[in-house]
Amino acid sequence: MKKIILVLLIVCGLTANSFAQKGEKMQAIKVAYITREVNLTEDEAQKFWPVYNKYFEELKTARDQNKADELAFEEKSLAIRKRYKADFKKILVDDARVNTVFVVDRNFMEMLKNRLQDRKKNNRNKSGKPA
Amino acid sequence: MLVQIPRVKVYTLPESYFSNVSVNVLTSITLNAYSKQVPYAIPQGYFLSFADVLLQKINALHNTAGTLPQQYFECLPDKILSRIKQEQNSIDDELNEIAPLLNNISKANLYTLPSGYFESLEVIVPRQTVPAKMIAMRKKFVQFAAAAGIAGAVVLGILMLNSNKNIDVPISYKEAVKMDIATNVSSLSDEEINTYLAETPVIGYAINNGAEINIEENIDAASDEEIEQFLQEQPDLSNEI
Repeated sequence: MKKIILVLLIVCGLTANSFAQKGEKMQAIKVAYITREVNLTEDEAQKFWPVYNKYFEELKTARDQNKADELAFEEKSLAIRKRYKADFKKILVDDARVNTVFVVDRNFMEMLKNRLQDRKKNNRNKSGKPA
Repeated sequence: MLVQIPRVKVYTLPESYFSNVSVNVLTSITLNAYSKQVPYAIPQGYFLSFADVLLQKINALHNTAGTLPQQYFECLPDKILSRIKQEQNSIDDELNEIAPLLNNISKANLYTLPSGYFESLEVIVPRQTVPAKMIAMRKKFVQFAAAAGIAGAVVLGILMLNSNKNIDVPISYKEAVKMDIATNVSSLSDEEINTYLAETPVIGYAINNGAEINIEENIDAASDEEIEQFLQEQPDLSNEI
């Protein structure tokens, strides 16, 4: 009987925990990365994230709607980025920082890609293959 | 005629009469008071027989007060009852006056039973159940209920903890500033990173189709100079940083 209760508790705890953390790890890292790259203050962060999330959602929709047409996606993406430039400028004031917002996603992905490649290299080195 | 009366003092007093008069009066009173006979007299042997006389008198008094009419207690209840009965009528009248409705209610028993009811009455006693099994069932239920309650509390607690965070951002500002990004990235699995790269809508990053890996291995074979030169020659806007 005690075993059943214990198992029930563990299952419930894990479910709740995974439910809460679903896909949040990467998002948390990204938030930390952007916060540091754009040099957000606490007040700015409060205003910045709702706008950024909306902006990112629009880009995603544009991507989903133009999966087969890279040029159409790029056109839409450009339009969206231009539209949000004014919103970011209101929050961040400085032009250079606004510009950082528009490259920060790519930088982040670059960083992730580099990390993946490092891992592959390390694996190869460990398995004895010449670099 | 008055003039003819000779002016000579007719009455005389012994010398210093008034200065001694009060003392004289008092002494004469005191002397007279002490007669030579004792004013109070007691019969002979008065105090010797006093106790007996007193007791006799008390006894005489007690006897007269303590006597009861013959068979007083035997007929006392009858006397009381007859007295009550005498006054009964007046009580009835009073009740009639105060609450005529209550007084009119019949004092007969309203509830009746069919004759021989208790003789034919049969009590059905439920058959004895097995008590051990019932306890076991109850125990199980209580344990399950407790477990479910605790589990519910745990889930609720975790959800509430998480709901405290900003809805827009999965971590707080302070957590974001403090985070060691490199360590956190290295804790991500390859799959997590690939999924993110594939899902992120940034110009120039094609959806991962799985062919990349083979190409990358070929690129690894090229020297760094070769790759750098190639990248610099590319006009692709998405690679400008």
